[in-house]
Amino acid sequence: MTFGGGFELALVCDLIIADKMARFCFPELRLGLIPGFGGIPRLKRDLGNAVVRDLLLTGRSFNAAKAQQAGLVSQVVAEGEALRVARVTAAQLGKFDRRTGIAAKRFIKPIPYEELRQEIDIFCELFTQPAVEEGLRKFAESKDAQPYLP
Amino acid sequence: MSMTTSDQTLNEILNLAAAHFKVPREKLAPDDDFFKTLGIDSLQTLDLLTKLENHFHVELPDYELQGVSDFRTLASRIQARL
Repeated sequence: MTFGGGFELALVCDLIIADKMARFCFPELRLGLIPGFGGIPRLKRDLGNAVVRDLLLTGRSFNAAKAQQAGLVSQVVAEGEALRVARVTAAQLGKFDRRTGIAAKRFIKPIPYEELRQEIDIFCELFTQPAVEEGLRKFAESKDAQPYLP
Repeated sequence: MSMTTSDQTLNEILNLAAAHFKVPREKLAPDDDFFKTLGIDSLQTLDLLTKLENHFHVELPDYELQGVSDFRTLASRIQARL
């Protein structure tokens, strides 16, 4: 389950290799927050806006197949095979001159510095609101079978 | 082209759930609370959701599962997407 900060960590990577059972989600809205560690600027950079709106405004998760269809995931592999395939893929990337890869990434994977800064500011502002404490408390105390659902 | 009926969908869900969570098929009934019968938590429910989405080739937003705890209702949610 690649949720919240885990999803943000994945978005920092050059390629995502997903186990067919993987799911991706930004549940922060359910807690009165937005992703605060680069999730939104990187999603916007990498995906179509309709998919970004769906993810962020509904707080839903989606599976690896959908993530690949949306352009987020480059390979979907059998259960338990993701790490092995990721290592093989990393080895492949490692064959080429590092400076060339860095140069290519300046075009294909620009870092949205300004939006990252804005996201942090908004996150910090939201974090001071009562809704967040209430949302976190409800989540922690919930006896629901599915406490992560809104 | 034949359409999958609700009963077929329900039966497939029960079979998938039994196989994935290694529970004898005969222990699962349509109106069972799947959290209790399968002994699963919310994260494992997402595993079940993924299995079902892949099997039926549908997309089922997890907010549609709110309040759903039995196989029959789960089947109706899937059926609505077929």
